[in-house]
Amino acid sequence: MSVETETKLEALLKELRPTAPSAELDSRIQKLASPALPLSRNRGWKTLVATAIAASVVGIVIGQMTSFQPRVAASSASNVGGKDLTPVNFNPNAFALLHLHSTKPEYETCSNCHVNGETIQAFDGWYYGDAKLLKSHSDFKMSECVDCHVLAPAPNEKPDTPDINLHSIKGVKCSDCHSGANEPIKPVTAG
Amino acid sequence: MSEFLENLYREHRQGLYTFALSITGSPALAEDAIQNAFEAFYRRGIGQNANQGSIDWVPYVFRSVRNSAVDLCRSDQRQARICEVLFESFNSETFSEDALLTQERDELLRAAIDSLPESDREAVMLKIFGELTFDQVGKVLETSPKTVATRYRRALGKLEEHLKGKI
Repeated sequence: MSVETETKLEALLKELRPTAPSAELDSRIQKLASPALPLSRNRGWKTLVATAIAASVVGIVIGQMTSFQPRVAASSASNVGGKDLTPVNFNPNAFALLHLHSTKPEYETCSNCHVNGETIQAFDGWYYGDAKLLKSHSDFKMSECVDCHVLAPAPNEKPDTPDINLHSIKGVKCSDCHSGANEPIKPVTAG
Repeated sequence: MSEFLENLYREHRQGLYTFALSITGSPALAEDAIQNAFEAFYRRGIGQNANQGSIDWVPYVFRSVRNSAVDLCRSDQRQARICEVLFESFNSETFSEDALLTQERDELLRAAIDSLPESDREAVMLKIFGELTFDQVGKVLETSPKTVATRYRRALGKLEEHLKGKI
């Protein structure tokens, strides 16, 4: 197609008048900006207590968790079920794959999905991205928690190989299957 | 909501709506998708951090609206003819030959947009009506700018075929 034709077509498309969103949408979005109403005294102390309790619980949980650790050895995974399953050291491949395709805000709270070795089932109702994407990665066994996550070692335990490079983990090495354009470079097959 | 988010909304209000509508085919669902996305941004505190100014949030916003629209569509049938709701009807007060030709051409163009494969239509919607760059569209659709450009030009090629002799 010539540049001239392309330019003409673009001009024609721009002449089409898209329908506008309603004023109601504007007010719905505006409402999100409205600060929360002040709490009544009665509700205020309850909220404070609830927040304090929640903060304590979170503090205890965080205190029990060590820092995120890469998947260091198959033997580490054998502990699954015995302790909380903690996401590994921030892994951009796995994180983008399993989290960023979601519009659910809940993913930001790790404990919503990472409670124990069984939590992968939660993906059914949680995953908001392209279903084909999840399916294709499930076929590669990439939606099993232990493919990307390991139990964090207890504070007094040392990981077997603490400085292992995350990209050496077969299950989350995107370039095994994808080119730079993120297109699959080999067919997706189960197993 | 932060001023940052309010500005994002104001600046891309029409583009976001047109894009969401091109996915859902329903004005109500398109608006819900935008609201859901912004509600999520608000909950996540996007725009509260000074560092966020250095990030190009536009593709992220479009992508979130897209995810939300796709999700809403799962429980609701997409309308068969997207373009019936996507664009204003052509209304001419005159009945000149020019006006009739323009009307005919617009109808052909709308039908042509309707017949595009979804991936190609998304590229056109984001580029023309979202006014995004190929790079930004790539981020929204999670593909490379080159792939976006290919889809976009392929779409224009198909539109040209539909409009042969009318442009």
